[in-house]
Amino acid sequence: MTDLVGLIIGLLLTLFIYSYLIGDNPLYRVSVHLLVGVSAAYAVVVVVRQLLLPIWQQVQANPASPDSVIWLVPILFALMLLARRLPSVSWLGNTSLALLIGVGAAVALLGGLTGTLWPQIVGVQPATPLQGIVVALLTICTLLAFQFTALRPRSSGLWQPAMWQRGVTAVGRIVLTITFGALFAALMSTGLILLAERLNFFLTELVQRF
Amino acid sequence: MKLKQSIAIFTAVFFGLLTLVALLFNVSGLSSVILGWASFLAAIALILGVMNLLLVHLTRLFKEQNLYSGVLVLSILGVFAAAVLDGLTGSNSVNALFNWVQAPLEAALASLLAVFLLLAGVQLLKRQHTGWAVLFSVTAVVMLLGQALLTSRLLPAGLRQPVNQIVEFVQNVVVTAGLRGLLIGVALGTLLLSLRLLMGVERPYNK
Amino acid sequence: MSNEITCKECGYKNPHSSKFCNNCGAKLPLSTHIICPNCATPNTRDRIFCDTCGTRLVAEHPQLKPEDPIESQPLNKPFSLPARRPGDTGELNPNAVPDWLRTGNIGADKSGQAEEDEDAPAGGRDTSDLPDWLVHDSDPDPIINAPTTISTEFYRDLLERAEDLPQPDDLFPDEAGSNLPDWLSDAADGGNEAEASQGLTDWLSDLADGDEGAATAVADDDDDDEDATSVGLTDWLADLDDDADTADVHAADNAAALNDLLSAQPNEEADSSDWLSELGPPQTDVLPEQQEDLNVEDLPGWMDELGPIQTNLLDPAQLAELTGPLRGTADEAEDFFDDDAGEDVSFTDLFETSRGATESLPDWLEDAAEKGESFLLDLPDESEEPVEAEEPEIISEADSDWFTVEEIVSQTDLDWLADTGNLDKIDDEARHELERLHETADLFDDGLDELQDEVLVEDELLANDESLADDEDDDFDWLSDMAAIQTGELTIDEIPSAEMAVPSLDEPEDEAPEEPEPALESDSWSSDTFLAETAVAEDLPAWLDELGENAETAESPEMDLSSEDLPEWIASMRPSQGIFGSELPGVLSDMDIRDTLEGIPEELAGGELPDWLKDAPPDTRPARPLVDINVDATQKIPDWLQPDPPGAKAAGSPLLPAEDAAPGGSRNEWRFLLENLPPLTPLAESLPKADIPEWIQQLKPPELTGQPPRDLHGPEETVGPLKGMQGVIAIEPAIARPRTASPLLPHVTTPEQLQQAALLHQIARETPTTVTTLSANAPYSTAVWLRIGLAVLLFVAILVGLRGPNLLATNGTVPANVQAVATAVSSAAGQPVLMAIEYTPAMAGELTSQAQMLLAQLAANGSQVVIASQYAAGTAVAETLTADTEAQIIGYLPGEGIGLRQLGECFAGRNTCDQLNGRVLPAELQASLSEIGLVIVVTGDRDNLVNWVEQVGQVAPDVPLVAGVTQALTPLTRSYASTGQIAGLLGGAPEARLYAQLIGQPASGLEAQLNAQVIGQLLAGVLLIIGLVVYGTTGLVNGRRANK
Repeated sequence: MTDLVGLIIGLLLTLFIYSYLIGDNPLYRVSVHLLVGVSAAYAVVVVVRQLLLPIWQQVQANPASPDSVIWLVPILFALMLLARRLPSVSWLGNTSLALLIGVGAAVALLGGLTGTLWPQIVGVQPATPLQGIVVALLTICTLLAFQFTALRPRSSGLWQPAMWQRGVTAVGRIVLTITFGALFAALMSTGLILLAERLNFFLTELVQRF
Repeated sequence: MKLKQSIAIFTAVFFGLLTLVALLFNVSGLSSVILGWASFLAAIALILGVMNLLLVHLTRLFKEQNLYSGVLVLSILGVFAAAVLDGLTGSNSVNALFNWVQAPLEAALASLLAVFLLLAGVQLLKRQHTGWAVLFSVTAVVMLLGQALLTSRLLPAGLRQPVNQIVEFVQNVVVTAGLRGLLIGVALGTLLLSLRLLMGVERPYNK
Repeated sequence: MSNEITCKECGYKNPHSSKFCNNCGAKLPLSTHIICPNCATPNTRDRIFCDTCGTRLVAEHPQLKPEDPIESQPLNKPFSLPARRPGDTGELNPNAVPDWLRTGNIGADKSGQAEEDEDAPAGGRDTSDLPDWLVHDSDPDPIINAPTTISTEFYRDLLERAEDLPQPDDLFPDEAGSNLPDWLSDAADGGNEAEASQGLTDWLSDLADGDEGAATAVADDDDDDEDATSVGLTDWLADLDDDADTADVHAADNAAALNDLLSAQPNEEADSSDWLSELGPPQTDVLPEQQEDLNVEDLPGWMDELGPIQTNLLDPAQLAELTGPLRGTADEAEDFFDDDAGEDVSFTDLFETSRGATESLPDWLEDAAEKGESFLLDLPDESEEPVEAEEPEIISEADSDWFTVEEIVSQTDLDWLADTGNLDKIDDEARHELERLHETADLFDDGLDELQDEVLVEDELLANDESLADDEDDDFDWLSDMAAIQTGELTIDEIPSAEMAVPSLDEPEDEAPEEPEPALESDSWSSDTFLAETAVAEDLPAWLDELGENAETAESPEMDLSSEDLPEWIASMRPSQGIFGSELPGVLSDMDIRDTLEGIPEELAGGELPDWLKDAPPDTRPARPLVDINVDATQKIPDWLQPDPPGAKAAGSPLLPAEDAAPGGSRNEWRFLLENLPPLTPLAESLPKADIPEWIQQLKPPELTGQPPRDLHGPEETVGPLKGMQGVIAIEPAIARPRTASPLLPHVTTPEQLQQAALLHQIARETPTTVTTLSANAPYSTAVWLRIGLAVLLFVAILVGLRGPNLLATNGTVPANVQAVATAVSSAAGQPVLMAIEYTPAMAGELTSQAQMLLAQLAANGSQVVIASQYAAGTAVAETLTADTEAQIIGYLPGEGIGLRQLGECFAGRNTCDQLNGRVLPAELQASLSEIGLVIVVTGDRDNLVNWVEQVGQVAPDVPLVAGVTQALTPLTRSYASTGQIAGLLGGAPEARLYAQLIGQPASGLEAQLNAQVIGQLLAGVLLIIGLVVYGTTGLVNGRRANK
């Protein structure tokens, strides 16, 4: 029964969302606000349940242990983060954010350098050497397509890219255009499969139930 | 005011460099502690974000009489209440709410993606009369039809191989090159931004 | 009725709002209808509301409330003057012109005014200060009458009448006229006669009177009318002439000599500036000679102010006394004077007579000469009573009597200038003065002697002045040296004669009276020469000749021009000063006139004294005060005319009082005076150094530079306005090479800009078809219908695919990446496998099937599954997926990359896996994580995939990473797969289907969805093609239209 109620609720909410095809309407807005509220609250619930409560229980179990004592620091930072709501002491929250951003920047730096930049430049394993060369050249053209400054002025004094610059830029833009076209097609396919899944779900459930 | 800003800058630089050292030189205990603190703060930040969302919509509800904000507030409070109820009674109301409300809504929104993508693709040339738009549309058509034909059995056997080669060429050469360039570009941007953050040049936290 | 307007010319139908025909350009009539903005119904122009829907057609205008009174308007309005439009001249009512403007009566007679206009100034206007030509008290026929009608005749009549009126130049139309400022006229009117200052040359008048030792007092103090008239500087010289004709001739000669004296004979090749060139070569004549080129107007102003030379004012006796040293006899001196007492010889007439041209003289000077009026006479009372020559009051006795300061000051009538306006008295005064001049002639003889001696003293003083030494290192001195050229390097003979224009004195009153006399170049000038060159040489007294003899032996000091631009001797010729000034008492009586003129450059001073000066004997009589100082009387006189009070003179003036005068008469006094002169201030010390431009430096004469003369005959100019000239100084480079404007950079238009311009052009040219209105009943737009249609089509296609025939191919080739997944999963059999459910219910439609298959395979392989997710919703999805399996759930991993980094460190063995995100993990979980064999990431988010690859896959490369992604994320994942960072890849539902086939697990739901996807893809492709064709063609057509 609960499943049926859930099914009906789900169906209604899905129809509410599909009503947007006709135009913006209150049903769509209600369903969207409902989605935001529920998803946000669910995230809080999950964090509390799966992170804060265990930590709390952990500290509470052995408050004198070094691990528990050292938790005073992140708790302090967390409290400082809460201070951002108060204008007089909002600067305290900047410190917590600074810690978070600093650590995240360090992690992103190492990860981007070793996880993406280096392997993508050096660790490519093409199927054929020719393919590798072509892919590399096209990759370079793609990177040079984001060049917005000329390397040297022309004889007339205007800063215009050279012919080879313009050629490389054009190739890069072609590659990017094709890439985006392919991505569009792929995304279209994903959307179709999602639509199909949704319709199939309701058909299946409704057929089964009714 | 300068001292307050300096503290934040010092914190960011200090902990960032500390993390770098710990990760590079494999200082396990230090990296675990710092990463733990950062993860904890990230979770706390998520909670604070949701709380802020709640307060904002509460304000809208009572000041502007915005019913939609009321729906949002009610939904948040409802989930909180369900979580409390689950804690008290051991039920699983939250999951029910998730399965009955959040899941269908997210799926429905995602399923509309195809419709709007198709609409945008069809009207592309209406809005932009350029060769690039034509190339984009042609590529999308080729890829869509190619995958569809290759997946299906509508394509004659003789045309299968050429179509497959075309599709694979586009996928394995052009698209791969383009995406690799994008990946490298994004990685470079991330690298530079991280360096600026670690050097204290960028201070998004002091706003 | 249609919304179009048909052109009557060509019949072309234009939109209703057109004003000109779009076909032929003819003007179209105004639209006769108003189109309703709501229903687009045309209504007649007299309608306010639409006939069809009632919409208001005409904008509502705010009505003025009649009850708003003016009083309600804000009171404190900003004040502003009434504006007048351009060309609006206002009221031109002749009757509105005030009387004073119309009649010209500026309030001279209040009673005479018939009516007083309200615009007329109250109380009238004091016209006492105005000259007569402005004031016409009783002019019955005013010159200015407001005309009732403006016509040519009126102006013609006005001009004719104006011509009859006395001109402003007629300063002395009659005895009643006084065209001079107050101080001049008042000086003539007021003051005690006894205290009245006398003119500069009153002492000359006294000399003419012939009083023994008497100062040349011109006027009695009690009688204002008898105040001495001023005499020109060289009046006594001119008056020495015995007869009128001779006087005229001598006057002319004197004028010429003075002209030579004043004008230089500049070296034609000299590079001196104008004022320097004006100094010219040395003059041989002190007195003006006949010189045709002299322009009277070039004379300094003060010279003009001197007025006519009162040749007839001197008493023959005085004149004889004056010219005694020159002539030797008083009789001769008498002869010198003009017997015609009524005729004055204007100072400027000397020049005019010599030149034969009088047109350049001011009229007043001419009139003064013609009418024989001595405008220099002080006749304040307009009395025609002849003034009796009175014996001048002798204040102090000195050898140089008539050169004694006190005498001169006391008796010199400095009001001669003030009296210049009182022409009525001039005539009577002239005769009186002439008589007195005769008396003083003998005194002059003595004075000349003294002057000669004193000049010698001055020569010594000037010679000792080192500042005048020619210092070629000092750039400033060469300019002054240019004027002097007395170093002997340049002689008179070397310097050719040239015109000399007498420089005007800027501030004659500022000149210190104690400035010494410039010494004459005795070696180049002699009184003999002077006298020889002047016509009056034979008439001059002998004492003047003696002066010339003495001057020959005198040194020629360098002239000091430090005080002003003019040489001393010129400056000393000012009315208040000069050789014959009051501060130099008895000079001429004691010294040779030539000595007096020492210091004058050779070229200016002339070579010789005139004979009459040479013959002038030194005056040995004691100096007599010429003027009684009357401070009150002199208060109204400008400073530069005021004589020094006797007390001041006696206090610290270099001019010695009579009691301190050295014995020996005026000559000694003059010598003593020169000895006690203050040291000359060098020009270099007194004046700031001037920055001489380079182009002037180039003009430095070679005589001073010691270098060979500049080649003035340099290369000849070939171009420009100076073509053909030589010695042209090169112009500045900035002028020679003017800047040229840099060429403008050419404008480059990119194709994008052209396209944008064409688009704008197209938009602008598009004619509006109908009025676009907004209303509540607006129909659905095309986009909405299109969207609905597409959605319906897709829904139908999906439904057909779900329930329709299966179009999927059955024998598809399994890609390598799919096989790798299977291989990796198989390899991780029996090992803990971390499966990251990194998607939300939004992507669950495509990824759930993959996750389910993988979980099933893992379960079949006996692998321990560890579930983790960085999405809060992912944990819920994970819980749903693993509801039927025994999986270890880590749960939520916050911090994205930070949280995954810990996991990677754990997988890599760098960290212990006991804690994760600060929470202590269970032992089982810790053991599983420490032995993890495979990481499977099922995600649909790009960033999440990248984080897993960077933070886990790269940190723990030993642990394989398999990714199950959506079709949208597949291209990106292939990039990582090509580098080996991802071991296996399931790219969306198609590859999941193949994987299912590979592992032998059928997925019915997946087949239907995939079938629907295929049909949907086909439909989307077709629709995209249709859109490409339709909109592409439409765009091309519109573009071609725009281009046309």
